Amino acid sequence: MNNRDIMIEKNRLFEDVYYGHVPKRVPILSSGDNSFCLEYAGFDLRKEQFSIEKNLEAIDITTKDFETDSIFATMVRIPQMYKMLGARNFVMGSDGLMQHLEIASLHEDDYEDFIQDCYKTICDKALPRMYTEFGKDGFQGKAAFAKGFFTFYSAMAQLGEGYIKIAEKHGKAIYNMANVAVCTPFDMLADQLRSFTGISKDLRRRPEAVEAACEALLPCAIKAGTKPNSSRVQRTFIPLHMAPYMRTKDFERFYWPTFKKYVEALDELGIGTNVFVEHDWSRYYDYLYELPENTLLIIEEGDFKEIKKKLGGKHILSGFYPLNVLKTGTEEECLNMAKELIEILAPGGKYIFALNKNLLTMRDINPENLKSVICYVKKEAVYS
Amino acid sequence: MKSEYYLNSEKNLRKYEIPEIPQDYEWASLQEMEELVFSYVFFLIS
Repeated sequence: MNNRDIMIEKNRLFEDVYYGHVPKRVPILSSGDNSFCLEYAGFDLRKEQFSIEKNLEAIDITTKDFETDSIFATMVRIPQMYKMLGARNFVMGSDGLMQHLEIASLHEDDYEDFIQDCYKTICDKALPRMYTEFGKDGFQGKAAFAKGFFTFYSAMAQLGEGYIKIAEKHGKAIYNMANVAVCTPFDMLADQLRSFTGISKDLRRRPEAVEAACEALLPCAIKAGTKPNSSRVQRTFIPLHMAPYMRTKDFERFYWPTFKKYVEALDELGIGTNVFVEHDWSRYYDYLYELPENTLLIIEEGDFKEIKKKLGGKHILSGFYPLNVLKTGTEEECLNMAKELIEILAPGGKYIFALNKNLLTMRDINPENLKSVICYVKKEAVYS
Repeated sequence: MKSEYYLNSEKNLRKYEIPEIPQDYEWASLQEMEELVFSYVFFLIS
């Protein structure tokens, strides 16, 4: 079988799961970051990260060595773009990793404007506070937008072509974790507009404004989460952030309504969602159950037996495999962990093997353990 | 999605005073840029 045929066969594994059929075997989805690949390939993160070619070369090398069904990693944060824009939200740390800093780009007294026209308010008020170059007078601010826009789309086009070539070269599926990534309206508001501290105060002091702001953001989230090629298999990635830090009654009032509407709207448009359930969501399993059938839930923390029982009949489950086992465990311990997960989660077919966290750096794991686990899953998690 | 800063196809045609443009070309020649700016702005706050 040539690599093109292998690619089609691997595509089929994911397509079967996303359409609710039992696949030939459990698909193995990678959720690596380009930073992991650069280190794995022996490149200097502080230098080679600025080259799209070097990032693709590193992803190619890593994809060749790990037998996942998707390419090993994708690149989301383009460091040169953030530098050009004078970003305050994403800066490169001394180790070369892109760090997300806590910032509040929307002020409390901006809520009225935001509710009236959130897109305009983001452009006029939030972006210049988030990116210092946008705030510059005259042509400088406009030039910065043009530079950033071109850098972003040219990098994304180059990466997109590169991913397909790597998938074809190594016989991998064309699908990865995110066709596009867009947060829930509440997280969008909390993450970089109002900040963790700001939104926590707003829940008490401006509850009606928070509710209205989430409703205002909802159509934008739906629009941003929809690409021309979006479908049941080219899925929208939704990382969940704030809910575990909220009181249940606040979650019910502020977080859940627009989260549910967002996922339902995408589902009605024929778009599948990959929801990354960060931290402990055990208080909210009944809510997750309400999401449209075959939502992919990538779980970071939680009792996989309980989750399989509560959510596994309706949704596709993934995640769970703890990075720390791959870092400190023996090969035998790592394989036992995989065996335990497969035994519980694979029956019925609504399962995609993945780790519980995004792989950022070589320090996160012992790569040889991961290679052994992937080979084990590929060999053992077979349906027919 | 409504915003003073977002123009749909109809508004774009009016703004740029293009009375007739074949529907097949309209997306690629005009509306796509509007959509790319929108997506870029939402990437920047994510």
